[in-house]
Amino acid sequence: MLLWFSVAILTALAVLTVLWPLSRRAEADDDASHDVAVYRDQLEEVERDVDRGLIEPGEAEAARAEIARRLLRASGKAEATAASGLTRRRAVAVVALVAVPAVALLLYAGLGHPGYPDQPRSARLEQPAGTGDMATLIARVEDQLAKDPDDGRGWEVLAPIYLRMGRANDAVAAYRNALRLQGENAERLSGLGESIVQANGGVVTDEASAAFAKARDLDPGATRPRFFLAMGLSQEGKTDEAIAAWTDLAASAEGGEPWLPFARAQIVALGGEAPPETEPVMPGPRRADVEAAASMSADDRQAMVEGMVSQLATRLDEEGGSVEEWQRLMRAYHVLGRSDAARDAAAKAREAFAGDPEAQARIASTESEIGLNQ
Amino acid sequence: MLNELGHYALVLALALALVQSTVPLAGARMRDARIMRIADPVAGMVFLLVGLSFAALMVAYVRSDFSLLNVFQNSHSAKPMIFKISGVWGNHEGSMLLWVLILALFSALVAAFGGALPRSLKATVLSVQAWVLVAFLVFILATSNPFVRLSPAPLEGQDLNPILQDIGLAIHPPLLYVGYVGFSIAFSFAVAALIEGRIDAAWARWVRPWTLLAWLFLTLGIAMGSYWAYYELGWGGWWFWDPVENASFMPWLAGTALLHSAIVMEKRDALKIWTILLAILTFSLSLLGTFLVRSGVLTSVHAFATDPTRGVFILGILIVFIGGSFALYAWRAQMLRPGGLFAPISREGALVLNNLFLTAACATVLVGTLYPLVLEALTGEKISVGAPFFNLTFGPLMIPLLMAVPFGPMLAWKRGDLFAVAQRLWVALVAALVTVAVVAWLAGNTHLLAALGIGLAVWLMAGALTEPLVRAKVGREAFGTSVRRLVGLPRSAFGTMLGHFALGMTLFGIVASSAFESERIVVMTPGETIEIAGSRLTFEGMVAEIGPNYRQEVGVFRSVRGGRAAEMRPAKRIYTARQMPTTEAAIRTHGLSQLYLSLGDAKEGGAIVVRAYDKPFVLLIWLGAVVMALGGLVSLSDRRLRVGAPRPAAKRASGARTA
Amino acid sequence: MTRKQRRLTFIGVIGAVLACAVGLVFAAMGDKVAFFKTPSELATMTPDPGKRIRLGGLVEDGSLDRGTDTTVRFRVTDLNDAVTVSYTGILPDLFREGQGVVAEGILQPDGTFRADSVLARHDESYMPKEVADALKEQNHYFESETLTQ
Repeated sequence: MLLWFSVAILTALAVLTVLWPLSRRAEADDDASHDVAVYRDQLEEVERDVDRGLIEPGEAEAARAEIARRLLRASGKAEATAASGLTRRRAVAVVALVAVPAVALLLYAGLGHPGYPDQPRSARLEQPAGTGDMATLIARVEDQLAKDPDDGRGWEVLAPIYLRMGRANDAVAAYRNALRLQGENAERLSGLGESIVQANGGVVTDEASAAFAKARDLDPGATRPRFFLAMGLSQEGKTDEAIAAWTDLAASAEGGEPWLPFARAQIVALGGEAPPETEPVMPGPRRADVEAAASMSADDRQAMVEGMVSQLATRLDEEGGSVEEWQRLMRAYHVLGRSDAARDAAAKAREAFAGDPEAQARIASTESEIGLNQ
Repeated sequence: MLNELGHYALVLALALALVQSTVPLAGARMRDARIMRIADPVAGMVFLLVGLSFAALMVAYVRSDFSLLNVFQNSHSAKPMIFKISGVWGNHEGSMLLWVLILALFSALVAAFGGALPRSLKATVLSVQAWVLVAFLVFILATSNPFVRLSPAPLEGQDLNPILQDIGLAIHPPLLYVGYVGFSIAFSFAVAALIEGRIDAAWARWVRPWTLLAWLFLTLGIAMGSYWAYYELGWGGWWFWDPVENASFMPWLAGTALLHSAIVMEKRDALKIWTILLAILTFSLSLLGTFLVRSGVLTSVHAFATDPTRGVFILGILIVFIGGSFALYAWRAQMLRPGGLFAPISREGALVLNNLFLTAACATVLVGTLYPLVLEALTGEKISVGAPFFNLTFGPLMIPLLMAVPFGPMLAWKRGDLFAVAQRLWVALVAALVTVAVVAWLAGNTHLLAALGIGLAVWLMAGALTEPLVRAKVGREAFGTSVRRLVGLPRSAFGTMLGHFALGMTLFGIVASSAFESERIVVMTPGETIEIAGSRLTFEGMVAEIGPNYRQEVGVFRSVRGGRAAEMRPAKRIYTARQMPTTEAAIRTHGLSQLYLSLGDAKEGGAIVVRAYDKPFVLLIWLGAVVMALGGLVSLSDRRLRVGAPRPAAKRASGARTA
Repeated sequence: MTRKQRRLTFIGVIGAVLACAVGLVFAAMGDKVAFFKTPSELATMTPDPGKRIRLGGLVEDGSLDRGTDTTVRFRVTDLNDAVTVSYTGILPDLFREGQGVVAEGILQPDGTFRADSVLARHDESYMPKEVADALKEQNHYFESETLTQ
């Protein structure tokens, strides 16, 4: 509505700029007077030039004569402006009143999208939570972090998402921040390592190895750090150590893990002897999946994130956990697009913390943050 | 809403520009004062509408509104605010809108400040200006509309080409456009004069300030662009004879010629046919430049657009305007009356010589720029015409011109005495010869040409200073009288002096920085020190940094010169959104010279390839351009040149006639 | 000086300057202009030390030898023939193997190409126009994705 109102005002102003001069009387004016003024000034200038030695006196006389001739010609040319014809003015007025709005509106009708509102980024991020897509959510967290870069939890949420999206460099930065603010734990350290590996096109660099090694020390049972450490050894060509690492890893497998065939293949490729295959609990994964795991494809990352989430869910279901862990689970489900699971988790969390108003409040705030209570 | 309002304002501007392009012209032909008079407010309104449209686009950039395709393609929310704003014209659509905005601005300025112009001339000028406006508004709406919407709107943009994310970009195109487009006024005046059939000294006085204004902005724009290329592209060069640079340089050469020939026309009523032709040529070259840059015929950093329909459209505009104005010229020029007579050795003669060399030089640049295109179109053979060609053609044509410059302002009108002028210039001549001798002695025989070049620069500077001193009779009359005479000289005389002096500065910078440049390309390991032209340069190591929308590897260097140390930080950057690398040079200025560092590839063990230059007096190249523009400004402030004739005088004159 | 003499003087001076300009342009066209060649065309040429050439093509994968000093070597190919190019200095930011490049310089007697300037694409979607045209002519034009593999 406001748009059409503004359009009407603009159009009216445009028409008025044509109509207004037409309605006013023109004062007498003729072109010759302007010329006369210029030539007078030139005559004076010749005097100044003579004074400054710019022109010889004899030449100056000739120049004066020249200018005087021009002056005479200009004076003689005086031609009065014709009276303004009423018909002509009416014709122009009609053009202004009809043609200008018609041309403008017709063209705009063909080109414009009057019903499509502006979408400035900040306003979109402020829209009620939950209405946005994944990108909006990420952007919202990013903006939040831009304002408060010391929000460790924010970095922690964002880091695995970056990794999954293939924004490895951002993931490295996010994990670093999370480590700095939240302290070291195995999960963050191995996330950092994995991000570095991805950023380097699959190469396990020294920096990544260091992160994985720390992660392994903190949680010797975790598979990811050991997997990548073994891969690093393979890449470095430390055959014996690599075989030992892969064998160790394979030995800890329960069977059916997606990386197991890859580890076995590595051992064989390095010239070692693969440990006897344990009976898979589930049908073995396809070979394609295994290769994808090695090359860190997007699918694999998705699977890995989902794996982590389901581990967390299982643990919380069976052993319970802190309210923060429940919140993290809710957010993770939301990020994965599984709103129902998130809602489910929220319900379970409320149940688990039935007598704790503070925890209830935090769960509620997470709910509204991820847009569950709409 | 603002997006759509901006779009509508643009469409409405077109509708109103159509009125401006026809009605005042018809009014002038019928000598109907009221109808002519609508030109002024309409020109103002068109400017406001295009301005509103431009402002709407800018707001969309500032607010990162990615529902506009143009914003999505050229912006990013993480970009610093200054580059969000400059991003508006860092792309094809936005830069064309800026082009049109400046075109409308100039016609509004004529409407507002052209009070002394005869009404029918003013109405015709504004109509002609509106023809150009209509052509480019249609071009924008038909092929390059910045208000195309995108639905659904993405949440993040694709970012601006990182080479263009620089403070240079914020300033360079607007300056250049004010220059380019400003010549449209000279063009409109020329065409209007041909239509009106009145071309005389008064016309030249009215057109000169506009030309001067456009010229001074173009000078600054070119200098800015050159400095930007110098520090941003990381090659240490400041002029590449790239077709796009030539596209802005040709109107400058023609415009400089026009400035000079208009003096003759104003003062002596001579060279009228030539001046009109030059006015048309200058703007035609501006249009040609726009075509070359915008059509994608040339591929370079500047060619945002490679859509063939755009090229064809601009080519159409080019043909209609250039062809049309030349046809009009051929038809009407013969009715011009020949003007004042003058001898070959005279101020007029000197200005003719100036025009001759400038247009010949401009023609060689034109040939060098267009020849590869024509040859490829005709035979399919691809060639590149680069610096060697221009050095051999443009250079020799400039030398006699530069030698003649100090003589010009000293010669009398109508008939001059070359010998007398030479006598007055003896101080300058001696200064120049001494310079040649000293430089040749210091630098050795190998730099004889450089010594001559620097001598020529000194000749220009000393010659420029001589002129006002001689006029004030310094040394020949009492000191007080001389000072009074000096102060009493018209400002335009100082403008001329500054302009010619600056030419000497620029020449000095060009010759000294290219002949005495030191260059070293070395592999440096951390801790290593090299010497270059009196500076000690120590490589301290590489540091990684993260900027708002890029990551960079910075080489930290310590440079010591004359006991003073400074840190220099050249870098290699990667812009995250486009994953595009750029090289950031580090520059340390000492006096008028600069030490220039840029980084190459990393080698084993933390070593890196470093390119270091020492460029003596290189700053003079751009300082010269700034002083040149300053000279233009001083001239512009001269009372006589203030837009139009003196108003009170006009009143008096008409009063006297009616009495 | 009579009016006629005066006019003749002007015409004489104008004619002389224009003749100089035209002469300079023709002289410069002769040997200051660089012709654009593809590696296949270069293979059939006899080296001429006075002739500047712009060599356009793709940087052959795996051919870049950055060496230990500031001189780099790489091969430029049009997928039919390839020429070894040596260049002293800093390669442009966008120089990459598998990407378009234009090198300007002189063909050496030993059949290698000594470049004094190297230009690479200016942005992601830009391939020097001459290179794109030349490759298209030889039906070797792929999208840049295929080239980088």
